Amino acid sequence: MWAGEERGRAEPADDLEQLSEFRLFFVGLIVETTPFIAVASLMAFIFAFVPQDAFRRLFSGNKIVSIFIAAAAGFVIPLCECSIVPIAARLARRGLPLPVAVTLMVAVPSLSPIVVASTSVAFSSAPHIIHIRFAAGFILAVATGLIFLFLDRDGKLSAQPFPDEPERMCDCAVEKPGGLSFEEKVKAGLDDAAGDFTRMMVYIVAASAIAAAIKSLVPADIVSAVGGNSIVSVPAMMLFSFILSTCSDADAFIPAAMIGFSAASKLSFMLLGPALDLKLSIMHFSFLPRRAAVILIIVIPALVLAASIVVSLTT
Amino acid sequence: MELSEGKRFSAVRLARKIALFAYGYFLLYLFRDDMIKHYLHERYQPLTVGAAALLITASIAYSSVERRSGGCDDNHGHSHSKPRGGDSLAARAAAALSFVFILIPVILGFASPATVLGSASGMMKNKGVFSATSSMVDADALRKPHSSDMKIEISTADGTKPEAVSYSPINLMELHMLLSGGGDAFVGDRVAVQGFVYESAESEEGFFSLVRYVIPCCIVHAVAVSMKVSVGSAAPPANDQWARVYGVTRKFAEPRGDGPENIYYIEAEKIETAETPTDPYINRSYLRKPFMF
Repeated sequence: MWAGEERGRAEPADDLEQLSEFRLFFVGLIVETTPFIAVASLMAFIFAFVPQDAFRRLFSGNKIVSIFIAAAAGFVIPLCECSIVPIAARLARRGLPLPVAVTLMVAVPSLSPIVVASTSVAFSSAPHIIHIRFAAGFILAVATGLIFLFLDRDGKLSAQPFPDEPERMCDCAVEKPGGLSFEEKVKAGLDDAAGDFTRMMVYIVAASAIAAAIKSLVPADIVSAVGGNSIVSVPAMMLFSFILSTCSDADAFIPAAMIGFSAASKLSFMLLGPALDLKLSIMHFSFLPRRAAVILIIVIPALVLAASIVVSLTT
Repeated sequence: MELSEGKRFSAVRLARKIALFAYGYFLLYLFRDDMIKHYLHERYQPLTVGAAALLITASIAYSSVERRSGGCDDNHGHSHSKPRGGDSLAARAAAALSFVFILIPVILGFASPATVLGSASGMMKNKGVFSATSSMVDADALRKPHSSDMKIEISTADGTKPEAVSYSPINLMELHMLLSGGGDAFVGDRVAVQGFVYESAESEEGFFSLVRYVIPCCIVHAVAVSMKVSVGSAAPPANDQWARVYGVTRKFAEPRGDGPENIYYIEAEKIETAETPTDPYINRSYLRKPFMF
């Protein structure tokens, strides 16, 4: 048997330890998210070769049906929110109806195969939470799309100008009559991809710094105290999810580890985060018409709150 | 100083190429000495390698295409659009600052090694609870002899003659999963576990917690997994000290408001201090021998 040093007691982290932890979490978040940003940038490159009206044709049918198809597509597209927002926005610029694009933005990070896998692992002991998450996520995506469809019934919302795309370095590769040669498309695609990467990284670095600061500075017992209060736990978890800006591919592990929180508050965390958080809000304003970004900030939390209340009343 | 459009384009392109290459190289650099294990679960590592290759390739292709096309000078015979945000000194300074800004995490990552999360951080996190359905758990998982079993000499009760005893090396997450999935079937088995020592003001006398962090996907989402270790009247190792505990799984019923709750713990037969392992975090579980240690 051990016979050694004096019985020790853990002390709170000092400033240096907290700084080390901040650095670890900050760099960790960047390491975690960069591959997905790289994939999204690759998509920007690929889309330089996609005929501008291809997606318009794909979703040229009934818009309500298209919204349901876009929501269902979330189950098969393995991308997270950082990737799908610029992609869907780019599609919207190229003719995809805005309500369908917004449905994709909500559905893909909420329902992707990676999210299904990680949530199944995180909540293996509570399968009802897994089922509710994906049913509610699908409904959230469809409802968001339908609300946008309603608000855009006169076409004014879709007619709002999009923010400028990342600057291509020379318009001679963009405005040439008769289309671009292969080499010009490569050049334009690389400009798009590199522009998207550097622009997205500005938001990712800022959001990661904030999230790392909160994680390394705010004691978990404060968070747990909030979780124990059934009235404030849902809005608190929504706020926590919004600020934390975690990647949807792995967000289930955070509420799964929060013992004492209600199922509704955990679901509110997992429903809101993939659809709207701090970094996404910044990205929405960067990629979507301003009015559309404002509507998302209002509509998604309202729908998540409503879903969480329904869940808390029925489970 | 006024930059011509061609020079401005070249400067922005150069900044983008540097950013792409820096991030790609940084991601590859993390695979040196397995530093990546301090940040990511191994299932995400192929994606990280792919992303690194993609970013470096894009950076090189960007340079190559620009060289082939001769870049963009000021004499194309057509006008260029004005840059977003204007072309003032402030706009150019903001663009330069944003470029420096996105390189901060890369510089931080290169400048200092990743620290290992310890007990101070453990105070700030919830302890994880891992469970498994009984269908996933073989009730004899610990008892089947295996070449990975550790033979440790333990002093007999009278302290005269050391006795070689066999322990199943297993990581704390796997042990948690077996106990929560199989419950009492695993009580009384001999196990060897490793982790760092954690004691708080609430620690009961005669017990300490052995802790390791599980990386389910990324270090930011690390969850501390702990198991109580009974040491009787002996003093446990100091906080944050890495240790190997050889002992027997036990349980006691702790009274709670809604009935007693089974608490599983390890009754230590031997404790060895250890160096921080090269792979301090738990990345995976097998739930069968050889367990991950």
